[in-house]
Amino acid sequence: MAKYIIRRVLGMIPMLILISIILFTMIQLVPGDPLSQGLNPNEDQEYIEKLRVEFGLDKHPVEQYFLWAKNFATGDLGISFRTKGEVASEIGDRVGNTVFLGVTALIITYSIAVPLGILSANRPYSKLDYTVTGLSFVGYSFPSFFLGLLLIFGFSFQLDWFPMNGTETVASGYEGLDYLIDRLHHVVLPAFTLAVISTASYTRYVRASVMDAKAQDFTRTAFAKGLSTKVVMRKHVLRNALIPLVTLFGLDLGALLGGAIITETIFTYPGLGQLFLDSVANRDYPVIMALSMITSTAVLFGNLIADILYAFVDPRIKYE
Amino acid sequence: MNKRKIGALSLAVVMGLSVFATACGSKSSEAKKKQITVAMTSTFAGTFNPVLYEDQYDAYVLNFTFDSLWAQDEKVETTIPVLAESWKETPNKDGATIKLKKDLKWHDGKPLTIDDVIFTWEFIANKDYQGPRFDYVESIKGARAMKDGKATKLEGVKKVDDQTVEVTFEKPDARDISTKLWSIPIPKHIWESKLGSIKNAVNDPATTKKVVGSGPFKVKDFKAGQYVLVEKFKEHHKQAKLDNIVLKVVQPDVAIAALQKGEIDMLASVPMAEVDKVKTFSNVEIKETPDFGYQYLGFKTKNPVVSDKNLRRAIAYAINRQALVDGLMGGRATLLSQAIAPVSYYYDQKLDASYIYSADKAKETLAAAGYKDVNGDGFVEDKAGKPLVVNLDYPVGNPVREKSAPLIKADIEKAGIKVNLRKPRDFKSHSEFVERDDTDVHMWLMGWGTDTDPDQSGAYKSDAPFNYSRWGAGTDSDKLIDAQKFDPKALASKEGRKELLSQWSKLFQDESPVVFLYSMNQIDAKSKRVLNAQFDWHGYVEHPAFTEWDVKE
Repeated sequence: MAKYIIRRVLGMIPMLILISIILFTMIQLVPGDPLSQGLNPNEDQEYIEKLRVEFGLDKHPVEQYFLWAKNFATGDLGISFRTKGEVASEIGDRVGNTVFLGVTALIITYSIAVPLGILSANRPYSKLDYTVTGLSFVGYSFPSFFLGLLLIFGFSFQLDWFPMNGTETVASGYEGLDYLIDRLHHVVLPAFTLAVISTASYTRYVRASVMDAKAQDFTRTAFAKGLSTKVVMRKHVLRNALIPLVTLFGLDLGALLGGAIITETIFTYPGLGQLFLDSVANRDYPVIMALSMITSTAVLFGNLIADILYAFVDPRIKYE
Repeated sequence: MNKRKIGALSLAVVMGLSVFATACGSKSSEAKKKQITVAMTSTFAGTFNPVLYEDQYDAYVLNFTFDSLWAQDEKVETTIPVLAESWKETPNKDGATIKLKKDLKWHDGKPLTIDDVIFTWEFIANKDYQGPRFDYVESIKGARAMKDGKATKLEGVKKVDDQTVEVTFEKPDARDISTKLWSIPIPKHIWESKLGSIKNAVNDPATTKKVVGSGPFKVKDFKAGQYVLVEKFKEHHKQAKLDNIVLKVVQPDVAIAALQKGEIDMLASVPMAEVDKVKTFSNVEIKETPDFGYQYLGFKTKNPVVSDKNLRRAIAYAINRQALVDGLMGGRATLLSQAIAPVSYYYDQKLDASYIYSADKAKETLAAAGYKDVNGDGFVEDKAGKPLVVNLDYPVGNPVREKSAPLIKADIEKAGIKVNLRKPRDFKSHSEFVERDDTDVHMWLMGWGTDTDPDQSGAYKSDAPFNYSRWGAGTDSDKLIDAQKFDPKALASKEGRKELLSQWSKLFQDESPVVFLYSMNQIDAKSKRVLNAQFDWHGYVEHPAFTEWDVKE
């Protein structure tokens, strides 16, 4: 197993290098000057030229790439063009918010999707099943920016149950548990927005998986042995049906770090997604590169984690 | 624990917490403090240092936390003393004496003296200074030498006493004192020890987290991407009536609802499309003022397609600008005929009479210059008889400007000039295409935000990088732009300077390297809860009298 993990991790290195080359090239191809605002003709040109040299933008793109790669490999993510601050600390400021949002969304997703999918699978083609399936399609096809605005309108503007934006009450002075509750209070709407879409697909997934397991020979055998439905469901059907979810979980872990660009922006939730959108609009190359690389790495590791978990939950799978 | 239990437990936890959270939702924060929330529609870069910041949203924070020597009144004249008690320029404008108020204090309680002011100028002129403000000290005698590392002090600065300084300029300069002289000091006692590391000043805690300013409010808390909380500075010479101001980032789509709801108390730049809706809110006051920025249609004058000034003049006649203002902006914009803001003293109304919309006049101008429709397709050919197609580029991002592009194309085509309206690009891409003089760029739409002083050097000097039209060489333009700054006539009186600027504007109109389209009004909204908020060309949010703001109990 250890050997397998090492091999996989080593295999990621060429993959990441390839990704970084593609990303870097794409960023270079997009037109737009990251340093000039182009909004006020009294901008100091001398200063912009000085910055260009400082940031190495006067060098050949290939040279720029190697410089970047060298720094990245040593853990130096560079300096943001926009804020002139360390990219690492900009990301550090926000990663916690994104993880908090992502984990909350995952919890909501799992706690709704799994029971709903099982219920649906247990009474296939019933009214309940059709309702769940119908709602899943609606949820899946709902654009998140629209859902976000709708939730703000309904639950913040009309009902006043949740705040419209942010991660916490400004200048509240909350501490300890109060602070945690305040944070949760703020995260519910954006997390729910994120969760609706994944809940929809998860529900469909669980339903299909459970129905599949129920049609298997071992389930029929279990019933034939005279076991109760409850026991069959718990010990035979669900155990097998929920294994594929583990894969999804691994993949989600990767996507989670990418942040939720649209949702975070609508709710002014300062996470990596909001940072990413800001940096693209400002052509803040170092931030774009760092965030993209983090997301890519996270996705690759997410896949690895999924594979490892798979081996644990499914004894048939063994890695040499 | 088996899976089902875990599932049930996590579900219970989520449900429980959600209910709990909802129950706590109505709990009001301890209140009693007079606090208002100002909406920001973009995130802060977080550089809270007046000599280093570059982001417009950081500027809003600095406005509350750092005082300037002076402020401009409702006529855009520098007359309001803030840190300064008085100032006087020499008669021929080659120097000035500035006297500070007594007993001024920094946010950390240390006294603010003229040494801080001098230090700030030298900080900016220092060869290691990395920020965009050098233009504001360049006029001081010896600033260039200091920047080049040939001097360690500013030759033209003489301290008289702890409150007073005498400044000598490089040469007599007719520009407004607020434009030619940097006026917002930073604390010497904080930055002096850091001179060796000016390069890292942007990341210094004194810029980001532990900001020591001089304004009526001080930075209390900064949450990146979310808000800045400023709190009343109790030792300030002018006591603010509010205790706290929160500058909160709110997504533009949500800001209008938040305003109606009372979650935000002020919003700068209400989008045109929302103005009528906001007017119906009973809790909100909304006002508008002509702005310093303007929108224009530019021509690449070196590009053979539009190098003939008669073609450019014809296009200037062809565009029905009033229809754009009425149709797209509900009249909430001002037509302008020159690069100077209509609110400025230097704006010459007499020039407004030229280029009144007339498709006939456009056709006449074209015909007289030799542009004829040879093949009978309804569009003129160029002077050599080849088909003439003029490209028009525009960026996305400003909804009014986006909508104006096809209308402008239609207007120009009505006058008989075929226009190829190209696909819009995002702003950064668009400006790069324009900046690098791409040969396919003939005409483009863009806007400039300008300073309060009418100096045109940055945008229209023939060698200025931002002179995207690349026009001016071989004309009197450069001479006139210099004259309105340095000519004895300009130095002698404002009238004299205005006259020289008008001469330049007239030349500009004749050559038409740019068609000035309109200046969109700045529209600000504030909640009725906020009292004593004055409004002029500054808008509400940036009005210098913000210490008067109060709230209803």
